[in-house]
Amino acid sequence: MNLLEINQRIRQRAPFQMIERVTALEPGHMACGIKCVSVNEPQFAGHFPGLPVMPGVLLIECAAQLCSLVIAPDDSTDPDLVYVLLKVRDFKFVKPVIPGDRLEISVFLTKAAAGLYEFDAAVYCDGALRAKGCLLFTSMNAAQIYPPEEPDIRDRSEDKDKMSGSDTANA
Amino acid sequence: MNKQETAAKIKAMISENLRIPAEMLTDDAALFGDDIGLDSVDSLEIIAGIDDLFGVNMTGVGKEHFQTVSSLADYVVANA
Repeated sequence: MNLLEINQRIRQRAPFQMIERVTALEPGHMACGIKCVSVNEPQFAGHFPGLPVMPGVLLIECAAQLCSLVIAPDDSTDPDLVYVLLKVRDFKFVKPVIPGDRLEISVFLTKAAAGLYEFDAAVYCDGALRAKGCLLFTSMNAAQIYPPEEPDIRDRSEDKDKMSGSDTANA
Repeated sequence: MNKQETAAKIKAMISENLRIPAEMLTDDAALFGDDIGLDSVDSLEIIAGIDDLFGVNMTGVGKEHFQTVSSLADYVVANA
C-alpha cells in the first residue's frame, strides 16, 4: 500500500503522517509499515538543535497510525468515526532513531473486546530493535470529541437601554 | 460459576491488566474511590476484561455495578 492508498484510510497528514508505506496488512490481525526518517522533519529543529534525535512519542505515533489501519474497516469512509489511543504500556526505547534511519514497524492485535483493541508494537531499523511496547485503542464519534456547544445568545436590548441612559446622563 | 469464583477471576484480571497489587483488591474496596483510584480508561479495560472472561457485555451499564469487585461479580453472575 503506497502513500496515496494510505491517505484513503487514515486521517493524519504531513507533517504528522508517520507511515509512508504498508508492506503487510491483515485487517483485524496485524500490519507492517515503513517510515523513512528525514532531517527535514519539523521536530528536529528543536529535538535537539545540532543533535537530531527522533522523539520517542513520535515512534509511538508511528505504531499508532499503523494500528488504526488494522482496526479500521476496509471501507473506512465513516467521517464521524475516529480511532483514538487510550493507553501506552511498557514502551521501551532501546536505541536512538536518527535522520537516515529506515524504520520497519510492526503491530499485532493481541486482544479485542468490548470496543477495545490492544496491540503489541515493535520498531526495527537495519534488523535491530529500536522500540517496543503495547498500545490500547478505542473508537469514538467526532461528536464525543467535539460535543455541540450552545452559543451564549443574550438579549442585547437591555444593554442598549443602559448605554443610552448612560449617554443621557453624561449629556 | 458462583460469586466467589467470579470475584476471584475479576480480581486476577484487574490485577494483571491494570497492575493493581492483588492484596489491595478486596471484595469491597472502592475501585474508583480512595481505595484503588481507578479512572475512566481503567473502567473500559474492566469492561473489555469481563467481556473477554465471561462473555458479559457491561457497555453502558450503570456505574453502581462498577463500585467494587463484589458488585462487578454480582452483575456477572446475574447476567452470564
